[in-house]
Amino acid sequence: MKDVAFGQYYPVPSFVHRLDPRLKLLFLIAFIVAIFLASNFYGLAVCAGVLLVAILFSRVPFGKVLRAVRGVVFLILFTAALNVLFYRGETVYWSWGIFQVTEEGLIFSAFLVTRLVLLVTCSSMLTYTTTPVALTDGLESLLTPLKWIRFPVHELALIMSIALRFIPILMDETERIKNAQKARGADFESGGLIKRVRAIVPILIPLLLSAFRRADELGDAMDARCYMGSKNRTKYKKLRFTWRDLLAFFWGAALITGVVLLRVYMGAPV
Amino acid sequence: MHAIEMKDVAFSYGEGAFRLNKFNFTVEEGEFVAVLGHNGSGKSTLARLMNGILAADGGEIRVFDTLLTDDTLYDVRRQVGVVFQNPDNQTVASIVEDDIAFGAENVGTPREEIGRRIDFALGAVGMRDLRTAMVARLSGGQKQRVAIAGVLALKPRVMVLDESTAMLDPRGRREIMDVVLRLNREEKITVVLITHFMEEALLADRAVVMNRGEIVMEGTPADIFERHEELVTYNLALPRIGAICKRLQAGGMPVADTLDAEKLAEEIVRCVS
Amino acid sequence: MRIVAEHLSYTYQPKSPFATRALDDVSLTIEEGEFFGILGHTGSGKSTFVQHLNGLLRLPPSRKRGKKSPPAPNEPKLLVGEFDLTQKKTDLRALRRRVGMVFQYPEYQLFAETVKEDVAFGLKNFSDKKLTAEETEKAVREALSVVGMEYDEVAEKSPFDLSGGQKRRVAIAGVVVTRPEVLVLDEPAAGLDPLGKREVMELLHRLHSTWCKTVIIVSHDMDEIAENCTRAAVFAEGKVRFCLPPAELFRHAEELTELGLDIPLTAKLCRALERRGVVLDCDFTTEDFIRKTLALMGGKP
Repeated sequence: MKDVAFGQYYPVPSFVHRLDPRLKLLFLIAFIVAIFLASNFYGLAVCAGVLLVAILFSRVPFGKVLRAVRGVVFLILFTAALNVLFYRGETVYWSWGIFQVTEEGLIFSAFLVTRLVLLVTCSSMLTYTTTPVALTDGLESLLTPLKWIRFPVHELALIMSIALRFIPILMDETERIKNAQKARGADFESGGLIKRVRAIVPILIPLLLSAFRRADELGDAMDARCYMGSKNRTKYKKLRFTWRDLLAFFWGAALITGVVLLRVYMGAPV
Repeated sequence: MHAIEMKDVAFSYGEGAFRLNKFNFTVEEGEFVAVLGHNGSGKSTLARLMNGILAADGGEIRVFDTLLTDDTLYDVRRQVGVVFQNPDNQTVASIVEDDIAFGAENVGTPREEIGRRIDFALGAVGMRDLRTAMVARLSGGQKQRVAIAGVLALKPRVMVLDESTAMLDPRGRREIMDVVLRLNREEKITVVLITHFMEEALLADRAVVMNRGEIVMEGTPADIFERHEELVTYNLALPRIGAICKRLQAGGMPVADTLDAEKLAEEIVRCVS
Repeated sequence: MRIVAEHLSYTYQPKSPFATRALDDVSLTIEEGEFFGILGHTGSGKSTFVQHLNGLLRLPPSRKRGKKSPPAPNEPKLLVGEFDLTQKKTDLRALRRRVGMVFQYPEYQLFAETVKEDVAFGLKNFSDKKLTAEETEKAVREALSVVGMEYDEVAEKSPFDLSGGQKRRVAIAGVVVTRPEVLVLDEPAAGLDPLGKREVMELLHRLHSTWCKTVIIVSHDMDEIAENCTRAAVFAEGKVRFCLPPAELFRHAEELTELGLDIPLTAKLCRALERRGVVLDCDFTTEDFIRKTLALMGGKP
């Protein structure tokens, strides 16, 4: 069973898990800003330190966190390789044609890799410690001011909520249809591109029909429960700020300040 | 008072032929009515007409004396809740309480009151301890009970179940029937149960049989099953136990008609001793 | 094709916080020629078990062991006819051709523009050479006829224009068109009205007596099992709790009730009669119940 509603959520009770999702979202934004503001290794070290504390407090095992990085390891290595080979600098170690390995290039690549690793790690920390449902709630709440410019915040949140509910169902269904067609000898693994694309048709058509049928029935069920859009609608769940959130908020503020100070006083990495 | 009154209702899906024509049907307040019919007999159309999900092409539908029109649509929907067939296609939220809140939120119920209604609805379907559970992890029967609870949160006076047990296993079916009976007896909610399970109709006060968009039989469940030859012509069958009674009678054993296993055993013992 | 399963275990999402053990040391033999029932609640492991039979789910790779050391006593084993599914290299295509599988609500897997094309899908996938139009038509015609449909009437229609019961029969035709020796069906009658249910069960008996030597149905309808099956296995929490002919199985009413399962109406009646001092030695089919009950009257009119 695939549980998108849980995403990659890692279910353990922890300080970080219990934080308000809005705060975690803001924290993530702050963290990304901090990473980009950091202009030298000291700044990144501060970011890494903060992230390390967050990981410790979240009780998500390090192996799990590293796995998120492993997913994009090629992207990271590729970026690093390009920079090592093309970055122009003064201390040249090796050159061949247009390629050139310099000290500056190596340092810059290392800097970039650290940045990318931190980025990936911090975003996956959010999804490890927050259920998609909580994220949706948080996003809706954060976007509420946009209602003033007539941005359909409620509708967007409802769509996300329904998607979270139905994506796992449709994934299960895909699996079931795929198995049924496999049992009828369908082959999805071999052959050229065209053959493979054509092989998807027996999955795609039943899946689309099912999705439409479900949408139709869900529409009826929503009608039957008096859905009339966001007008006069009340909301049962309210997110609440607690002492934990306050504490975490100060951490975030300290992080940004630290990185800005380091940028001002220590300058660029190279 | 009539809970639901349909007078000369006509409806077609726009393919020319009428699904329902000059259709008359009333449900009394507090009643438990079973609507029987084979697939395609028009019984599901009926469910969707009763709270205006489908609009009738002619005739009148009244719910507690309110005439169903565009202006009264949402008043009627608050009074008449519908639970549909597929347990997976009726929930909008991933968490049980969020989904139950949906209907109450839609009609602008204050927050504290929504909380109370969730308590009430979960209690009524016997799922208090699953308030914060993930819908995806529930069994079919539990999902349907969440759907019932979601309708109950609107405090309806009539509950229509449109083949809500058709996709469930026997345990899930029993769960739903227990809940429905309790709602009818204790909460005094009027129930319209649309089904093709004959056994479920046994629990109703009154049963009607539909065929080609018409009501062709009507009476207590026992009355209906008495006329079993007629049922067969509408592609329906007696509940298994009724069929066994008839077979025994045909074999020369004068058992009285019954739809209860203990009673039938008694009858058999009476006949052989 | 005889099916032999020994010590089968299966865990979904192993090594994750969501790991669920679906099969737990299951051993079960299904003989060729049986009309076999598999009972149990949703999540009892019954669906996981049947998906092993045509290799949709595979056994976890066996632990490496030296050539000399004898096989461990609890080594999992799964044989379907001559196919050994413990081996990594099994010809799954050949296996699936001979073990047909009809999933729950199979009508939702129809996809082609015409009934004819949909039924022919498996046929084309499984045949080693390109079939001529005549060969295809002949096979499709026979498959439709065995499920009780008229080729000339429906072949060119869109499957989506058929009624619910007809769609299901077309879907079954699409599986049996290759004449599998073993046919596995998950809840073949689910969601149908009484008439549709009866038609599907009749169709399965027709298949059992013609094309498919072994029929295996997964069901939670006890009456269906009592009326139709030679033997039935009861799954609960990933284990096989019973594997008996219905005539014996439904004598275990207490145990079945404890597992949250029902017993067929005939078994209920027999128990009610027993409490009143009348013992009826019946195999729990309706026919047998009626016959034996009428016999109780002896010579009385």
